[in-house]
Amino acid sequence: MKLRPLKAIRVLLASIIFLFISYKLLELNSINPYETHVLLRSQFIPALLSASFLWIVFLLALTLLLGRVYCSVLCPLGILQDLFFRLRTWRYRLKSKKAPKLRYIKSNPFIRYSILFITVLTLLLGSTVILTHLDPYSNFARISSNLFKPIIIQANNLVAMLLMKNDNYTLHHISIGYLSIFSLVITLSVFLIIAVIAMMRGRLVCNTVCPVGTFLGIISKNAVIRPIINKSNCTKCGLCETHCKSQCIDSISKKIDASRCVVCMNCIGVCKNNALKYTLPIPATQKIYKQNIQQTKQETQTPSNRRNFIVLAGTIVASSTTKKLFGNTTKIDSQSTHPIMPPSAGNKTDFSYKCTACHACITHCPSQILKPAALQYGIGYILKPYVKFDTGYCNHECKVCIDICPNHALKKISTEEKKLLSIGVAQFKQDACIVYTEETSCGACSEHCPTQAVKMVPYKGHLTIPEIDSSICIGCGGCEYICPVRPERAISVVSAIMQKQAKAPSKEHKEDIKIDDFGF
Amino acid sequence: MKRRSFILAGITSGLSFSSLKSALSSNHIHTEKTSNLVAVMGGTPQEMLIAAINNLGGIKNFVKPGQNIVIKPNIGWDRKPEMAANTNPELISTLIKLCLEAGAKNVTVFDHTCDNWQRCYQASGIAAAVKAAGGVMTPGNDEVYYKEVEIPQGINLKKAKIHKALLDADAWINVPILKNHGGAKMTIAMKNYMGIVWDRGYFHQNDLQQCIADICTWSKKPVLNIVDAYRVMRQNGPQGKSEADTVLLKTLIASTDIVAVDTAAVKFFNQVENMELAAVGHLAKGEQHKLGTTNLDKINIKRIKLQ
Repeated sequence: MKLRPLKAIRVLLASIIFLFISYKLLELNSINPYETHVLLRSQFIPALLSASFLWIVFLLALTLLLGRVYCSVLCPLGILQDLFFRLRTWRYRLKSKKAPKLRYIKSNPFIRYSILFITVLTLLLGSTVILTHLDPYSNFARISSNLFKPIIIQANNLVAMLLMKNDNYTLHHISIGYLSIFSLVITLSVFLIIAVIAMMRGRLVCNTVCPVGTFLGIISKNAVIRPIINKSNCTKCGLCETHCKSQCIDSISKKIDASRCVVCMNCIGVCKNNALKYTLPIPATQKIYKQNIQQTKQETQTPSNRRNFIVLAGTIVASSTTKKLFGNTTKIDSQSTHPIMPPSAGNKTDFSYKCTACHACITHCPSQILKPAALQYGIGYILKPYVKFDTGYCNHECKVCIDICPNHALKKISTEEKKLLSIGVAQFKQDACIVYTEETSCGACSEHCPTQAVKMVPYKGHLTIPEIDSSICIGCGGCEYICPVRPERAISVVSAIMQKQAKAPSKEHKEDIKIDDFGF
Repeated sequence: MKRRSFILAGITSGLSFSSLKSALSSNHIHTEKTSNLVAVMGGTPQEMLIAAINNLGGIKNFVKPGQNIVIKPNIGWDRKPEMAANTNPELISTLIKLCLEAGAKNVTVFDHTCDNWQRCYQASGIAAAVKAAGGVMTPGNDEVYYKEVEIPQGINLKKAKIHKALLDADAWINVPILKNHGGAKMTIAMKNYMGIVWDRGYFHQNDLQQCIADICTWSKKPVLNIVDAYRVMRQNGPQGKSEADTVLLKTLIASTDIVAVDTAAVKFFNQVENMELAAVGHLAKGEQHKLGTTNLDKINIKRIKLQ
């Protein structure tokens, strides 16, 4: 077999990026996450939603120049599919059989463009309800968070246990508090479907369902450099066709469907007659190249590629700025159906638009208080994070979720701003409080209150009872989490419809107190 | 933070091998005159601890060679040392060095924190101090680290899940910080026991003050209680809002009698903020459990003013 340097470069780059992104999603130490969040923002949809237009322009230019490099090198879901595709070869090799060869199949432009159209349309109307389930990055991140991370945590716990028996506390036990059956079932189903399709049909998902793939495909049709068949040299042997995991090389009619080509470079270098090259359409091949384009145009009967591209690029860019079209008309939810959202989410409409449920915040929350929603907050909020204080509370000084959110659905703010950001307000039911019912001391709520919005005030005798100053309450849930009253707690946080800065607790001057005596 | 811990490590390691050793060797002469309670004022946490230990007969009274020692500070909150929400890190590192010099095999430090444990360990400066002093920091925020034990003398609390490091230890030293507390009024040595158990909710549900006294009847008592009153949180405890809640008092109180040390600490605190002994309900209940005395006239107290 000949050396295939282009493929080697692709595999190397893809492996590095895949490992980095996976590491970022699977890392166990979330207390001081390294400043590698930017890696997650290299992804197309996060970059689009976080309005990193420079990066989007770069990705588009890259695609125009080299084809869908994004899909083969940058997209972790694409690389995951390549891994499964490889598994297929290994599986057959184990059985000492040759894997059935993949052959060219016609593209299905109707399905591809319909899915893209609906996704873009919903995006324009102010909803990511479809995109959440189709975005390749979010799907990969959900698979990592829901399926892979629990396995890593279990492995960590096993090793931690063994080390602990030898008085080694380098690793520590981690509980998995963020998983939900709903999210697990959905993610597992998606994972299995993608895995099976990838094993049987290579990059079919990328070339049918994925809106990013379809969109980039429109551009890559006219890529400056792309795989090109030199018709005069080609003997229609079909070798390149069987190496193509996008099933986009038609060796009979000597054509490559560049919109489906993910430039995996599998075909480059396999041709025994040197008829297939990843190159500029040089004069010798220029004629054939032009014919190719004309043929493609005639056959697919899609509108002008350039027009298509401009319209789509325009709409997508516009969508992220004019999304309020639809957003403003949605009615304000009542508090019972309103989730407590992670800090800096703003309001539900904005947040559920920008969040594509990648679960990075959920798995990185050191207190594990973020959970993926089921249907309780509406279809638009499926799998998106909401706060639950049953196993922890929002640590005052922590803003890991804000830092990691690649979509900027949680807007970037400083720690000082976060410490005053109210995500809800505590409500106290005195007749359920232990101090009232048992007449014994407690004060667990006030103890956990970082702003002293919950303060113990004189009650009977030496007893003190909680009192709330709503104006300085930030809804961190410390009080709700620790309240010992069951089944319903005596103090609990009600969601803020619109998150805003709470009043700063009154500043006191440090008194200079001097004591010369022990007092006993 | 880094500079802090570096300086701290430098001071402790530098001093411990010079002044600490001479201080230790000199204490043999004075061992016949031991006190039940020692209160020291006016030094650094390290100086005050060494003075207190010397007056209590030296560290060898408490730590035997080859022992596994646990030090239990209060590391409840994600707060910097200036906020006085957690035990002073310099005090902890000095104590670890003393234990190791007395021949302790291992010195383990943990707390069942309230805020996220990793953030607490880090922000308090204790993780760095323990590492620099040669101790081991153990996590305490997962149920897997705890094991249920009987509390036969408990009135409301009959059993509790206690941290395994403590169950395995040969001896432990209780090192709370003196703080005001919204619910329990004061948190000192007895209240510091709440950081060795898993299920604190039960305490709050079943008369907090009684449960605090009950848990202190657990058969393995601390060999020494050292109350850190170097920086004291006088209000808005136990977490504190700002440094305005703290006051620098440069004091340390140590005793084997947990009720006496808490009583002394409350009386000391009372000079800053009004605090009646009766309000701190677990003291009287501890006395009823025969854990110690609230009558400080009964015991031999040594008061030392440095400088």
